[in-house]
Formats: sequence, C-alpha cells, structure tokens
Amino acid sequence: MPRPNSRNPSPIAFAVVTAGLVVVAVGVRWLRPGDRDSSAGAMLPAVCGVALDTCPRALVIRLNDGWHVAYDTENGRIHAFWHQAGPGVSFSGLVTDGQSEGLNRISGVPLWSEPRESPWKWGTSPARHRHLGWEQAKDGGVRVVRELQSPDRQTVVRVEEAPAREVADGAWERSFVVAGMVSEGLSLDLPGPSSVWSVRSGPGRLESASLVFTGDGTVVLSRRLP
Amino acid sequence: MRALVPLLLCLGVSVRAQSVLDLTAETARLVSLSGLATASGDFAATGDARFVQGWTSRFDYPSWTLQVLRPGRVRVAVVLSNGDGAGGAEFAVRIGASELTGTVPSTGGWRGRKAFRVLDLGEMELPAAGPLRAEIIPLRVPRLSVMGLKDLLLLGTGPAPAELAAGESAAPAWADTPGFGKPTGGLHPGLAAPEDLTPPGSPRLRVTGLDRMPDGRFAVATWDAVGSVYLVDASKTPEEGRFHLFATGLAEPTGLKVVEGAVHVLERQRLTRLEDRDGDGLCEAQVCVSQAWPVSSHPDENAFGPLWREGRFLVATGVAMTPVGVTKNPQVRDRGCVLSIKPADGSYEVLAAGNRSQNGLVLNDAGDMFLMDNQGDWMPCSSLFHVTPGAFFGHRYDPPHPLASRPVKGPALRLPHVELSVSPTQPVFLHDGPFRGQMVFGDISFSGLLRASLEQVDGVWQGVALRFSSGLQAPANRLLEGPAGAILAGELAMPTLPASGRRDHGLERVAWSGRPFFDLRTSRLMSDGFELELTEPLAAGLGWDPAAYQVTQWTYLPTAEYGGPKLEEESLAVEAAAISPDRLRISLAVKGVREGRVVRVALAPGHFVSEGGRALWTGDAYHTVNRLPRALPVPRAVPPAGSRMFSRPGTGLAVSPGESLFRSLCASCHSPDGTPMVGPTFHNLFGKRHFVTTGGVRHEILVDEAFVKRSILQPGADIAEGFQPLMPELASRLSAGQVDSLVGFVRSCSPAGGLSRNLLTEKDKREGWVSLFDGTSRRGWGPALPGRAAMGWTIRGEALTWAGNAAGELATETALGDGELEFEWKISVGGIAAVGFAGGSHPDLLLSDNPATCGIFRGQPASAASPKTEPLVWQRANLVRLGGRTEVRINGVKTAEWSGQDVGKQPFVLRDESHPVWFRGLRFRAR
Repeated sequence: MPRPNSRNPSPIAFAVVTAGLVVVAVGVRWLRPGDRDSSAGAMLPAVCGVALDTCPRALVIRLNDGWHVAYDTENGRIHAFWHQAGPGVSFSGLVTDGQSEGLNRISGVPLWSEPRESPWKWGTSPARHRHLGWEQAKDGGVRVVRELQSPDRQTVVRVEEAPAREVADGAWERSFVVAGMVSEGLSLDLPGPSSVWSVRSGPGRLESASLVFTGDGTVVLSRRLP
Repeated sequence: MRALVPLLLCLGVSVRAQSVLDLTAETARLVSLSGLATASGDFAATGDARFVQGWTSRFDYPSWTLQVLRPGRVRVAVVLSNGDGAGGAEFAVRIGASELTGTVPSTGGWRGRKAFRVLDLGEMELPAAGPLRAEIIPLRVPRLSVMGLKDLLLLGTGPAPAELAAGESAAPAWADTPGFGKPTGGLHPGLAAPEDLTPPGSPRLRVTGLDRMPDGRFAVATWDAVGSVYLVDASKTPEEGRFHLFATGLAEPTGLKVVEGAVHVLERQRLTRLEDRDGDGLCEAQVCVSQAWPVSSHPDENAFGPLWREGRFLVATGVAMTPVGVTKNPQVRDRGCVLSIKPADGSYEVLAAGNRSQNGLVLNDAGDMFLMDNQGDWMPCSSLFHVTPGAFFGHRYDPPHPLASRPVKGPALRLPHVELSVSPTQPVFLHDGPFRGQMVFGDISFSGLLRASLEQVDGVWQGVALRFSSGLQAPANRLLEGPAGAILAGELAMPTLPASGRRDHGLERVAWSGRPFFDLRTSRLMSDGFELELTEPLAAGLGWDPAAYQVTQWTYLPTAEYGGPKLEEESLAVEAAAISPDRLRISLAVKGVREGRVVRVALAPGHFVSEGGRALWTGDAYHTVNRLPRALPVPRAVPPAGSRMFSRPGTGLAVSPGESLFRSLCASCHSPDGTPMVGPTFHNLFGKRHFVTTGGVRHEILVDEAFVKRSILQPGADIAEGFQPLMPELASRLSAGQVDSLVGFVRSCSPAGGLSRNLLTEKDKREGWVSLFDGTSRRGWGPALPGRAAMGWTIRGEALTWAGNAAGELATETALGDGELEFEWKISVGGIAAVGFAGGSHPDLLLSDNPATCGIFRGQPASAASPKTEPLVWQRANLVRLGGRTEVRINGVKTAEWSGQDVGKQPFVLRDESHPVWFRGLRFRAR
C-alpha cells in the first residue's frame, strides 16, 4: 500500500487513491465504537461525527493503517480521503481547547475529494439525498446508509456504502448495497476519466463518468492501478 | 455603652453589657395620634437628633420593638429633661403587658448635658421570650410639654435578669447577603448532602444530555471531542460497573432524549437515534433522524433539545456568534428557531423564531413548551419563553427570518443578568417534594440551582423566579427529576464563562433530607400586590411591618447591543403587610405594579425567622408581570398587638382608625380618590344615588351611612350595578366600633357629597350660601380679640388648622346674624375644640371625638343622641340660628338646642382648646 508523504503526496499515490476508492470492509481491522486507536494516541473513535471547517456535517471513519475517510453526510459525498498516522482530525473549539472560534480540521493532506455538490443523480437531475446514519455489521464493517429519491419522490432507493478497501491486487474498491430500484435512473458521478473505473460485480454499469445502478444488489466498483 | 456607664452608675446597678438595653430617642418610632407629627413636625427627633423634643400631646408617644431573649426581671429608667419649671407630666412605660409609671421632674432645662437626668422607675417582670413593644405613654400633661426624651434604659436585674436585644427595632439592613440579593450561601437546608455519582478520574462527564432509560438507568451524553453516551446504573459502584459506555463518536452532543426506549442524541448538526441491534449493550447503529436544518461550520451553531411531543421532536437552533457573544451576520437560514421535526422523513417546520442560544427546553405536563434563552444582543437578560406556533421572540439577524415581521412575544420569565442568573440551563418541572409544581434550573455560571413558579393569566404565561441552592461541585447543565423530588444534575462548566465550582464536570444527585427548613415557597402576583408563601409558619409578630419589604420594578429594551440595563427602575411603596392566620403566607399590598415590568419583591435580610427559630433561606422573588390578574386582591388584616415593627425615626402614624382599616381591608378593591378599581370608589360616594340589585330586584338607593354599613356587614345583600359581587365577608372580623370607623372614613372621602366644601357650586350660590373660607388663606378671618394674635392657626390641606403650642382664637371678620352655618371639622385623638360667637351670651359649641360630649353647648349635659364622631376623620356640623334659638346637628344628628337672648350679628369664632383641630367648608347663608 502506498505510503504517501503527508506533506507532499506522490503523484502515484494520489492517482491510486483517487482512482480506486475503496470498499468492502472484508479484511479491514474495524474498531468497535468506543475502541481507541492506541497508535493514534488520541480519542478518535472508529466512526466520529465531526464539524469540519468546510464540512459541518462530516462523518469521519478511521480505516486501517492510518487511512481516514470523511463523508459529507449532507450531500452524500466523500469530503476527503487522507492518510495520517495520528488522530486524523485536529480538534479546536469550545469543546476541546476553549477556542470560541476554533474550527476542526483534518490532520494531514487530503489525497482526494469529490466536488462540493452532491454526486447523486436521477436521470439528469439531482437525486434527493437523505443521510440515514451509519451501522456496523457483525463482521465489524461499517456502512454509511443513505436514501435517494427520484425528483418526483415516487422512487426511494436505499444505498448502503462500505468505505474504501485496498484489495490484494492493489486496486481500491468501493461497494454499494442497493435496494428499492424499480427501474434505471439512479447514478453516481465519478471523478476522473471513466476509463480507469470498472464495475467488478453487481447490477451496475459505467456510462461516461458515472456509475449507473441498474437494479437491486451489491455493486462493487473498482479502480485498478494504471 | 461606655457613654451609658455614668447613667447606670447613677442607678447603682452593676453594669453587664449583655443585660443592658439602651433604646435611644433616635431609634424610636414616633406614633402621633394627635396628627401633630406630620402636621407640624413638632413631635420629632429631627430638630436635635439626640432627643425627642416638642412633645406636647398626650396622644403622641415613642415606641420601640425589642426582643426578649431570656425572660426575667428588668429595671427601667428614662433619661429625660424638662424645662417647664415644675415638670409634672405623668407617664407610663409599657413593655408588653407590664407597666411602670412616673412623673417628669423639672430638670432645669430642655437642652444641654446638664439638663438630662435619669429617672429610675423601678423593676418589672418580662415573663416570656419573644418580641415586645416598649412605649412611653403620657398619662397627664398639666403643662406645656411631656418631656425631652433621650433614652429608655432597660437593665436586666435580680437573680434571673432578663436578656434583651433591640435588633428588631432597628431599621432593616438591606445589604446583600447570601440568598438576599446574592446567591445562596451553600446547599439548601432542606437537601441532604449531594450524592456524587461522578466517576473518579475517567470518564470525564461533561454532561450535555440526560434522561432515564426504561430500566431505570440514566443515559448521559457528554460534551467532548468524541461525544459519548454512558448508561449509568446509580445502584452500582464504579467498580461494579456503574458506568457503561454505550456509544461514542457523536458530534458535540447537546441533548439526549429517550423516546420509545431508544436513546436519541441531538448533535450539533443532526438528530441521531442510537440502536443496539444485537442486544450486546453497545450501539451498533447511529440512525440519522434528521439533519435537515441548515448549518455552517461556525462553532456556535449549537442545537438544543430535543423534546418529544405528539410524535415530533422539538429542537432549538442557536445562532452563530462572535467570540464576545454578538450575533454574526449573515446567518444561515432558520437559526434561532424552534423546529418541529417529523421523524418519518426528517423534515422540519419552523415552530417559532427569534431566539439566540436556547440552552434549555422543557415541556410541562400539559405539553406547553418553554425554552431558556441566554442574554446577549436582543436579549437584555436571560429569559424563559413560552413557545407557541408562529411566535417571534425578538432576536434578529440578517437576512431577517420571515417570522421577524411579527410582533415580538415577550418572555414568561426574565432573569436579571448577574443579579440572579448569567447563563441559565435546562429546566425541569418537579412533581414531588416541597417545591412540587415548580420549575428548577441551573446556571453555567455557578454551581447551584434556581427555582421558578409559572402561571397563566388571561392565557399569557408569566411567573416568578427564586433562588434555590448552591453547593454543587459544578454548574448544573442538565437536570432530571428523581423520585420524591430528588434532582439529578448533569454538570458542565464552559471554558469561556466564569463558573464557581470545584470542577468542570460531574453527575450529582440531590434529595430532600426531610429536615424542616424555612424558605419562600413561592410568590404570587395579585391584583394589587403579592402573596408570598412560606414553607414554615413565620414567628408570631413578624412580617407585619411594610418596612420589612422592598419592592422595585423596571423594564428592559431589547436592542442590537449586547445585554441591556434596567430601565425606568422605580421603588414601589408597600402600603400594608399582612400575615395569614397560619402564618404561612405574607400579603403585601403594593400599588403601581405595571404590566411589562420585572418586579423584585425583597424581604429584609435577617428579619424573618420561622416559628421553629430558623432563619429565612432566600428573600427575593423576581416576578415577570405580563398580565395583572383581575379581581384577585391581596388578603388584608389588622396587625395584632405585639407585632414587631421597625423604627422610623421622625415619622408618625397620623392615620385614623378608619383609614387604617381601609388600608388593611378595603384598599385592594376601592379607591378613596376616584381611581377605578374592582369595587366602587369611595370618592364622593356619599349622597349619590346608585342602582343596586337586592334579592334580584333592581332599584335605586341613596348612599348613606346605613347603606355603607349594610354593605360592610352584608356584602351580598346589595349588588352595585356595574360591579361584580366580590365583596368579602368582614362582619366576623370587625367590631361594631371598627365598622363605625370604617363608615366614617368612607364618609370622609365624600367632601362634595357632604354638606360643606370650600368652594361653592352655582347651585349653592343660588341657594344663598356664602363661603367663609377659601381653602387657601385666612382671608376674612382674624383674631377674635382685638390686639391679640391668633396663635397657631395655619392652612394645611385646604383646612384651617390649629396645630401649635400657643392658644389662639380665630374669628370671621364679618359678623353673622340669623341663618344657617355649615362646616366640616376634624379633631385629634382625645381632642376637643369649640366654636361660638364673639361676645354676648351665646355658649360655645363643643366638638370632640367623644360622642357623648360632641355637639353640645359648653356647660350643658351630654347629649342623648350620639353623632358617632371619630378622631382624625372629617365630620359635619350644622348650626341654624334664628332669633334667640340655635339648633345643632353633627353628622346629621341633632345634638343640642339653645334658646336665649338674641345677640344679633356677631363674628363666628373658632377656638382650639389646646388640641389640634381642622376646619373646612365653612359657609353661611342668612335667613
């Protein structure tokens, strides 16, 4: 796994991460709620709601080996993906250091992030997004749960997303468990050129720079190393 | 004390500091039944503050209150002077039921060190501990003055000397003391020592959310970087697992609510349900119920709550502020609002707007929602608001909230900043314990609790805030009611606010110990004052003196400036104080309480002691007056004998018995001056015709003495048209004499309805009346005897008044012949005056407060007809003189008739007879 320099990440590592993004929690050392990462030396749980400076409704999930992902739960997007051997978030504010104007920031340099607007579409229109929280499976894997509605609110789709996972062949996978599809229409805009993405399995296909969901089931999205 | 030693040695007593009480003239309450105290200022200690001088009337006397700490014998002496030459005034020193008498000797002068002597009166027994009144009562005053009084000395003596204190006679000390003008001095005396549930060391419970789980455990949310929820089993020790970490990773939780068995946590930006899906005691899922309201990254954008009502969550959104607490502009949408959140889809509706930082939401049993907002811009002081749909509470920002165009809805409770509260926190309603039904809340600025009672008047909420307790380890941020009125306090100190406490976090439980305590239970706003309720009976004799209370009111003006001063602050006079028969309630008659004001009712520190000897714990009640209740007068009562009174140097009582009764019993519903109140005004009531309903029959009556008396004794008999039948039963509380006094006072409020007045109406003039007195000068009057001054006659209150020390007679400059003479007159207590005609043989007519001798001619026997006169109450007199015959009526009652030689035209003469007397409405018409 690449170990990018936190101050000046290598282009290779950046490309790997942006290309791959994650998934499926199998094999990842998940932390139970309340577990503490002794290596981090801080009180950051495995999943932690945080108001970040430019993302007031962030959900930071600690992955293994110092990798962190912050979801923007308001817009259903990945706010940042970064590596930091420490706690991952630099806390400042009344709650921690008494600074009334202090802001929480990610600790480290983001390697990748999605655009500010929601990447979820229904046809060509934005899909209505509702964050439904997160849950932890018996295997310890965390899934971020969201609900997506067609603009006419006639179709409601539940999408559970497992954060990024580095698979054995060096690719990053990201998986989506989809339920409630009655017809095609829901899609997820992907950053970067579509040629680097592939649907490894499940009811989905790539169109241009989007992942189009074609039915219920688990879609595994993969980006292989160039 | 040192100055008294020579005096004490004169008495030959051994001096023991604790057994000597020096009641000085300066601390005496000067009671003036003659009216001289306020009429002339003669009987006052103000001319020379060292002694009472100008004491001429036997109807005036000094009074002190004292405390008998230990019963026993006491020796009594008076330090006095007398320059009358022969002295001779006889007096009594009365202390409670004990009495000693003496005669004032001539001391050779009134003033100066050598003029004063110690007159030893002997010993008396003070048989019981408690408050007593000491008085020096003149019995006979043969010469000009009673005495010059410097001290009344009381010396414990004999094998069982009395021990005395004069503490209660001094004016109340209004310096702030714990519980009186400042926070309480410790844990409330009725509470047991707090049970500290805080874990030693870790975890550090900075509590922002607190509720009870269905299994009895407490769910506690903590405010830290990785917000956690603990389940607390208070029945276990920390070692046994009192604290169980249920969830973590919540974003700065600010509230927690258990709904349908599930813990719901309000994070700064979302409402989250915590689920333990596999029953392992850990939360595996944090379900977002809603995050629909707009937020920015500003760290002050807290959310407060949640409450759960009718299937909806109620959440308040705080505004973004600068480090010094000023609102930042622009704000994102729907900040400072109350949101009603629909759990099914997470959507919300704005229920109300116009708040700032609402760190405390609560529902009462009826489902009414209240929120506690903190002082800042547009919030002159921290306040409790009653939340109703569409309400706007006054806090503004840019861009304006749509509800900001609505009229501002004021708070149900204002908490004067710093004086009472700085940053109030979440309230809780108590359902048990001594303060059942009340609201308790904490404050981030100090480690204690406050109380409030709320009420609705005309559908508008308002209430009173009171201090409660200090003595916790840290400020109480979240409260939960426990069994039997116990309170679980989740504690938190903000790093940016001053806080008193031993730590900045914690969890404590306070419960009632069962020990008796003496505190204000509550205070109620009445139509014309306040009724304070106590937790224990007040000691007998206490609380009757209005000087034991201070009432002030003020208002606030919300502006964009941070906070706001008290505006239009004013003191309100406490007209009367009364204690209920069970001594658990204090009624204060206070005029001038206005809507839109905060009114502080303060009790004198150190004065109030319970029957059980316990000192009052708190003495302030802060009322927010949004609506004055109607037809809810304070109960009134006449102070019983032995009531403890504060001294008022230089003041007297110049109040007639009738007026005193009026103030105590009637003033809450009837005005003497025409001011509209619940009941008919007494102003010009006499002589008027009114429609009343008697036994269901409407008819017209003439207001006269009989009607007024019937109204007092049979309040339900005649219902005056336009008024509600609210007159209370008084017959059992008044003696026949008191009823007559009261009727006399009512009559005195009707100068225009009586037969005389200073100014004549056109009708009067048409009837031939001529005014003899213009009400403002002695024009038309002069000495009765040529070459002699009319000493002592002045104009006071539009009345010709004699209130001097020198005798004098005043006569009309115009001689009056046959005709009708009318006037009103008023006499001092026990006083006598005379009117007559200069020269000739026509006898003087005597005027006095003694019905037997009033209205008769000098030298004639007492009249069989009683004119029912009262001292210090205006009376009417009518003389018809035709030829050699004169007929007299007093208050309409024929009292005397004289026949003799026709003396022709003569000046009309007023004679003082050395007693204060007042005349007005003097007029004459010839026949």
